[in-house]
Amino acid sequence: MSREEHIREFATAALAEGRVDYFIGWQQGYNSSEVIPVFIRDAAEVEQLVWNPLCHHNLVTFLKRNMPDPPDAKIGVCVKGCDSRTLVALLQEELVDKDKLYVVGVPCDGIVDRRKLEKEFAAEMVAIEFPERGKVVVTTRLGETQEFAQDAVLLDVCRLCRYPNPVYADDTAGPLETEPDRKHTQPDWTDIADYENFSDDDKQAVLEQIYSTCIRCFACINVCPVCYCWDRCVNRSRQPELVSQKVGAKENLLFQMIHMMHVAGRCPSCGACDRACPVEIPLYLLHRKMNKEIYDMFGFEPGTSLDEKPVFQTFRIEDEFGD
Amino acid sequence: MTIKYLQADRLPAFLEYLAEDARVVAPFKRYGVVQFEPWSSGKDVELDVLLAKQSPKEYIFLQTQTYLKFGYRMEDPETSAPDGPGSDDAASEGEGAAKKAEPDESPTVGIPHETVHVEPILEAQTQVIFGCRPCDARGFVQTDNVFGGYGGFYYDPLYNARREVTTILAVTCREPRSTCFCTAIGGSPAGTEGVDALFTQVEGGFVAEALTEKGEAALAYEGLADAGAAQTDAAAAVKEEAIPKVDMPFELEGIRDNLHDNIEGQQWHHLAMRCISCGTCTYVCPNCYCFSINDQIVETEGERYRVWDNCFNPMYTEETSGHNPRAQKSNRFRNRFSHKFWYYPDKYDSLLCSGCGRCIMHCPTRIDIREVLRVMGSPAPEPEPAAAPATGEGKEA
Amino acid sequence: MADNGNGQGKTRLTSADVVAGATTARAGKQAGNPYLPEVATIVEIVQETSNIKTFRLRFDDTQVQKDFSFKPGQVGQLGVFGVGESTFAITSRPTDDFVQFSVMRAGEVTKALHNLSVGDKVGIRAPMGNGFPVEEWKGKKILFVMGGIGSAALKATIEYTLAHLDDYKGISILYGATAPENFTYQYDVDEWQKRDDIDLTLTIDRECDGWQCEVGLVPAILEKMNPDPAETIAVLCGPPIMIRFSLVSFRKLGFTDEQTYTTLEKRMKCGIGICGRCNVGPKYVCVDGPVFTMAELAELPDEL
Repeated sequence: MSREEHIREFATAALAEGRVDYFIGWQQGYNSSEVIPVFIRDAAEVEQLVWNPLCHHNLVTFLKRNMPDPPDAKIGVCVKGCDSRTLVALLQEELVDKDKLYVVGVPCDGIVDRRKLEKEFAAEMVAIEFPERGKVVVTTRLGETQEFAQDAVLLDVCRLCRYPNPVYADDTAGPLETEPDRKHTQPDWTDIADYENFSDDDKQAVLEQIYSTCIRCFACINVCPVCYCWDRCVNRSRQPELVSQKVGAKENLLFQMIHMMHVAGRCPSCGACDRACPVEIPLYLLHRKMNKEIYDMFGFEPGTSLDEKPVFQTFRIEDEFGD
Repeated sequence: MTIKYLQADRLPAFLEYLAEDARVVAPFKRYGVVQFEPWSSGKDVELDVLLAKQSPKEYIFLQTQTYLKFGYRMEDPETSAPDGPGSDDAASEGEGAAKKAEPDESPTVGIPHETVHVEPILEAQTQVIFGCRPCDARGFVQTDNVFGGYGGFYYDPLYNARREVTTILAVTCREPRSTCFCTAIGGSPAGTEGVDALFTQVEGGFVAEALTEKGEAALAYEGLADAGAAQTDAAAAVKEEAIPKVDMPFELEGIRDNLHDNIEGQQWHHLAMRCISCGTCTYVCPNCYCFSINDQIVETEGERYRVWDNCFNPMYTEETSGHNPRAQKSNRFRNRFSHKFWYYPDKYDSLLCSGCGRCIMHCPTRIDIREVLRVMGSPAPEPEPAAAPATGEGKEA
Repeated sequence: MADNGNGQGKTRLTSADVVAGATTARAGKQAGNPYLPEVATIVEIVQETSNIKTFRLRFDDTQVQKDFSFKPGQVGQLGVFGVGESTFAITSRPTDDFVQFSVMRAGEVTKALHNLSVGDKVGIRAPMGNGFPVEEWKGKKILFVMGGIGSAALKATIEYTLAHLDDYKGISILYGATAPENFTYQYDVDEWQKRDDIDLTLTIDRECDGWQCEVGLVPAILEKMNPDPAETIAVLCGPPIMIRFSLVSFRKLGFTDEQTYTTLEKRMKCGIGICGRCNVGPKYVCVDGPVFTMAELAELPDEL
């Protein structure tokens, strides 16, 4: 059975048995080059559920405060490895009720970077197919097709992924992916190596330049599963006003800094923020940097185990702090 | 009106010419991302990608616009505030006289006190937007209605000062996207609404048609030759081929009335489920125009500015008392679509959408306006099965 | 004038139509910059209740003060420079030589206003909104039903009808507050009580020593009054819960939705029908309202 078939089977059972009011998974978007979240309410609709390397959405965001509709719904949800870590973060903080959840874990061998593919063509992509594992075939509106090796067009966060299997699930959609040897290997931080070598002034300059195109749409904030303050967000506070509502490079940098500081220690670099940004700001850069700092200081990788306490809720004498 | 031909390799020179009297804004690609930016010599305009990420509306309707500056000062007591009530006769007469006023002498006379010096700010730089699409231009016509003192409504000089000094040179869409739907709502890939001159790419260059006086002025460049018959025919052919490439995903007729009838429909919840209530769709849209007004002050100097806001913001309608008329995400969701296809048309006899499809392309969960209109713009959908959620109590996203 | 290109013959203004130097909210031909406030000075502050103050203001520009007029029920944006603006009903009388607003201390702007003193400067953009159709009401009996700060929204209209008593068949006022010290405009209420051409009923929520008027919630007292709906206009304003239950009582008494008016409160920013925030369905509370009949509200989506 393919993972897709597993997901459909689990969803059918959960809905038919009334264990969930709706089941959240992925389905094809307006054409096969897009995948979108789907909310299945009826076992008869499970055929809409898909699983393929375009399933990039972190569906845990639909579990956070104010998202469930109705608010007390029992919800089934699919999670990849990275997604499951954000769910664990929410469970550690008791922000989601475990008893209202049915979690289907989906082992993942990497999500394809649709934007990387998009830049290969002048014409619009209208189909992205996966004829066999490891192969990606793109068709454009003008009829051109091109094949890519999946490994060559993965999301950056997937290239560096250490948790391909969900760390928390009630049921798992098929056999596990090979786990990297986390005990004996360090996380790979080469994606931020260039940034780390900048002087402080250059870092400030490059960040202001990156965030100069930010339009404060809050897509990154709202799509992040561990960013859930909504109307009480510091970035929106009026009394007192802490961040200017003016949209400019300096204000935007402060806005992003605040978001980064508040998800620090809970962010597994799932990259959902990056993918949500309509103007393609590389948002995950700052979060990756923060995650490295936390790893270096505390040896902590967020959301890997329900038994662990969140890093900023514990203190050990051995904790080391940077210079 | 004039029809000219611009050789492709003369485009930079043409832009130089325009830049002598105006700021030129055009789409450019930077790190693979296409956005409207001010042009400078040496930058190559990007026309192969159909749509810039955002519409060019931010060049007329600024995202952040300070329109008032103020400063608190200590005032010379000789020129202090007017006297208190009772100094004129009218107020003390009549029944139910107001609570007795302070003594006739204003308590502030003779004491230096604080006053406010207020200064309006309004700047508008002459500019030319080159390389936008007909849907972008049509967006301006639709926002013109809101800001333009149209039909007895208020006139907004902050928008109009910039609008009046902007020339719009649009480029025909040769290859519309699957997400385009301009033709379904009265537009076209070769549309002329709001366009001062329309450029159509043909072999070797552009055929440029002036449509307004501003367009004529822009095309007065001596490096432009009159278009020959072959060229105008080629342009006509491009347009003819492009139009049928745009899908017509719904029937416009009846949408307004059906949105009205479906206003309390349960389907709004289902359509809004994957919405994350951000502001992406409104900010990339050529026609969305909602904004907020805020004050900012440091010590004694401050400003009042307006800044884009969006009706998906959970706090958009939240009142001081804590009451929020659109606390539910599904209510905010239906507000945006109803505004575009019902509320605005009732006021201004026009739609508030140009069919560019940016909202579909950029929405983090690809909410599809075409689907929403097909479902809620049709006569009442089938009654819901029993398992449907009730309209949730209390706060939702 | 430019044709907006949408047919229907409606035309758009251009900056050529704008009167140079004109400011504040004046629609259409006399368009200035409707976002610019007029600077005004506080000439008097009246402490109405523990959390409500009435501000009497004079425009610094004496010509603006002379020219200022408003329809009863219209509102204005009153703002503190550096904090922001908020919407308040204009509560002056037609003959006053100042502009009056009554403000309950609640949020950012109202707190800042309550911290001001006589002589301080504020910004005003007024008048805005549609006002009550006092001309249409001529020849009818007017029944004002108000609770709490709702009295501010109706004050100007009450004063107007009192100043034009001959145009109406009678004025009744039912005014409810939580306790005797919570009536706004106590000084006016005292005057009204002395008159025999105003049918005034006051009520408080709970018994209180020395209180000689009614005791009970407004809807209950309304039913006790048993007003005749014939040739009567009902004007209703107060907290949402009071409005909801008063409406039930009005309908019980035979009042139609067409003869029952209210004025809405909404978060507003521009106040001139542009920024898109204060809509209830297709109606903007700042230009199509804030005055609506219940019949008009029944047509609108449930997002009051």
